Amino acid sequence: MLASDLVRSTIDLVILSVLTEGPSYGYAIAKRVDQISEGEYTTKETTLYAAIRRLEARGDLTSFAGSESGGRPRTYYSLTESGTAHLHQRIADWHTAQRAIARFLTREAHQ
Amino acid sequence: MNDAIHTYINGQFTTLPRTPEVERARQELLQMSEDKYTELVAAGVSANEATGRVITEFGNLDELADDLGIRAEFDGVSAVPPVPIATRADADKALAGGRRGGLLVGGGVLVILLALAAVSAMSDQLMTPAVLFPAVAIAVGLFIFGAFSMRPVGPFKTGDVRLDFSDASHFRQLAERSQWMFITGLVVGVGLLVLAPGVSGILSGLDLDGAAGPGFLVMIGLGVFVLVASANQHGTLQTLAKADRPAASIGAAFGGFGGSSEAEKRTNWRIGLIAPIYWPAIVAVYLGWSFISRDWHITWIIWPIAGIAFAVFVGILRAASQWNGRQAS
Repeated sequence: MLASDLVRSTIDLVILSVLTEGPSYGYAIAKRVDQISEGEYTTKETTLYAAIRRLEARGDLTSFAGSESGGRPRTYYSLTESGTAHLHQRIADWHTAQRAIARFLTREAHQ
Repeated sequence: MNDAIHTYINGQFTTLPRTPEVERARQELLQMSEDKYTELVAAGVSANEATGRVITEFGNLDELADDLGIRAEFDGVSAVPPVPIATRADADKALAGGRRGGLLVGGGVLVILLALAAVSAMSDQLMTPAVLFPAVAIAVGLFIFGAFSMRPVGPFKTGDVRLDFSDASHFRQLAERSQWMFITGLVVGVGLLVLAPGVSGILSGLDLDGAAGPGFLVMIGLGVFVLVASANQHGTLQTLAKADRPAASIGAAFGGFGGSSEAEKRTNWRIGLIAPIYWPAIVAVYLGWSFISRDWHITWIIWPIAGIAFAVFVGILRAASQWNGRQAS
């Protein structure tokens, strides 16, 4: 399970990435995150909602009222163009970070 | 939906201002937790374990404070010791107590007025104490029981306990639905009081002079009974409907919540203005009537009637200000 500070710094990327699969609602997003990360990336409800709301306020997401397959009403979130652009930016940032951090990891492993 | 989860999440929100943003967060978090619970149970997890997991994995509203724009309020509120949240059963008990209390207190007034009616119907003045004293004793007993019944309402009124949002919403709906009952009670009660002199006039017109006084008192008694009972029921419901709101100091900061106390102050001011005119006028009427008619044995009746009329007047003024407050908000 990921440390909470790592979750905080990556959750924007994770949510935006899940929403590239199409519009989704609160719990469904959390579940998808859990599936993709194979249970390694768990979020508290408040953390997830805070991130969603922040992304929406920034214009990366839009929300609309919909209903899931059971017919129950849910607030759906979908990616905006700005959200897609931000996602690409975040992914690029993380690739850079990953390469940089990886050098430290291999160096530590060799010692 | 699982009640424990509802209560837990709503409990976290009770101290926060009810902005649309906060309300939306509450709805979304409830929905997410509900979905999670449903899925855990569907996957074969026991209800207890699912509840525990949803609650422990819920997180902390502190994380949301910045995004909801309520950081200042959140920090301010966290510094205040939380007010205990009453259960729905406590609230139901308070409602039943308020109702019963109203019936008992109204019943006490009715007993006294019925006794007065009986006394005024009797020709034998010597029997007066024999009827009046037991009636007063019964009435005092009813008042004491009434006050005792209404005790569970007290903590809600003083803000010593609170209800969570969904329970208070339940009572708001109940209050909304029973509004017509309160209005009917008010109309019937005031109607009885207004018609009482007319009916006693008709009775004396029909040469039933003996029945005019008692008839008048019985109608006044019934009118007061209906007014007290329905006002108590209404008051208790109003108290419970507002029991999820933050205390006055927090409420005042967000507007709206402080409004009712303002209206109350205005109403008290009006009552304070009228009382010094009303009571001397009653004294004048009493003395005038007594000296002119020399019926000192009956003119004392003006005092209980004036007292009850004043109480009814105050009650109507309070109800009107509450009604206006509701319309305004």
